[in-house]
Amino acid sequence: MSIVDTLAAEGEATNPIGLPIGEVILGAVGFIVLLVVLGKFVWPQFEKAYAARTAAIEGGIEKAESAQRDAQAALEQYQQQLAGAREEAAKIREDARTQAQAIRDDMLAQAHAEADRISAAGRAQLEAQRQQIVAELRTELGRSSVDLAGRIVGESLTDDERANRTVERFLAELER
Amino acid sequence: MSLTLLAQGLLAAPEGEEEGFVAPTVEHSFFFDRIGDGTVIASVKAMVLLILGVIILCAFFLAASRKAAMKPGKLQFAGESLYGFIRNGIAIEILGKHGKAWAGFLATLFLFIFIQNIWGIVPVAQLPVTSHFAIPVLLALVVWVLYMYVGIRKHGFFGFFKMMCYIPGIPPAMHILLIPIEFLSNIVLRPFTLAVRLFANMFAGHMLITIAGFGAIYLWTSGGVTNFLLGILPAVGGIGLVFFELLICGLQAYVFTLLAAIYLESSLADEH
Repeated sequence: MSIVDTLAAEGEATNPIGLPIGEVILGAVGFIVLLVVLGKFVWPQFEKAYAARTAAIEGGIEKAESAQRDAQAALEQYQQQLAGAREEAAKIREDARTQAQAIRDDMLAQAHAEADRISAAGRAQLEAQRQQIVAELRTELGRSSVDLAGRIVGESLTDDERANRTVERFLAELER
Repeated sequence: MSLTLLAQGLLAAPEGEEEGFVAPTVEHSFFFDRIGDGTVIASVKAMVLLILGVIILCAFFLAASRKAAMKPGKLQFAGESLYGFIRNGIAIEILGKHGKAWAGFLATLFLFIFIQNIWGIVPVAQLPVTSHFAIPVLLALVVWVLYMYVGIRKHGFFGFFKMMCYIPGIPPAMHILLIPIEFLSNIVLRPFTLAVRLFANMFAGHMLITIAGFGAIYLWTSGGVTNFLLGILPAVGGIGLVFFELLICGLQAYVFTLLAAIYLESSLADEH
């Protein structure tokens, strides 16, 4: 118990709610020093840092916003260009299709015309040959008939004009 | 149960000993190194700690704010966090547009009280400076003078007292009762409660830890297995109390600062 004894109070007790003037003064000095030092050198620095940070953040936000705006504009432009290109491509395709169709139609028409022309020419040639053959046959037949008739009748029918007329008449009868 | 065991252990004087347990006195716990009769300085250690606390705070915050960089280092971040805690959590929260102007004072107040409280559980120091009544009284007076001053400056002398004591919109007869009550609570009792709350908390907390420590030492030095085992209880309890004190230190500093802000706000308010 020696510790407790020696440490226990000697003499009259101090009032625990007394106000020792030295403590009040020291406390006041300490507090005022703290107020002045922190208030003059520390808090303004912190406020400065806060303000700088706020400004930086606001600047950053603004920068980001402007960047976003730029990006948006670029995107719109690209989309516009893309849409234009797409339209152009569609137009070109359409043109090509029409052109191809036209070429096909043209070729088809040409072919038809050629075919018609060829067949017409053939037909005309055939007709001409027929006419020629008919004419030759008629002449030949006339001559032979006249000869034959002359021989049979004994009458000379060499007189061309008369003979021709006779033949014509005969042939007209045949054709009838 | 632990309490009863502890009480038994403490009360039952071991055989062969002449004295029982002697609780530590206030004198021993708080005023062990007073100068003279203690009317000027009641504890040299407390005053050394007080000055040391101020020096530590100054040094820490000067170091923390030296660069004021936009990207804070660890030290600056710690300092800014402490300041920001009071600035945003109390000053701007309570005082609104006046908050920024008072943030410095309130932060200083909080830090001063906190470090003077925390001395109570710092090993070797182990004496809360705020358990010396002079310090809480001084701080409460500072707060009182400030809120009286800003109130009178803003509303005029009579305007301020009318705002503090007169509640509009109640039956006239009630004023006979309410004006004295309001005067007492807003003008007289505010600094008193501020000072006593802080002082009593720190005083009682320190006393409790001291008694727990004395109990453990007493039981361990009085011999015997039972006493040794019983001594573990106050020892563990004392350690628990230290952690509890840590909470109290922060809480009381916070409450003091919060109330100071609320009182300032009531003086700066436009209406009752």
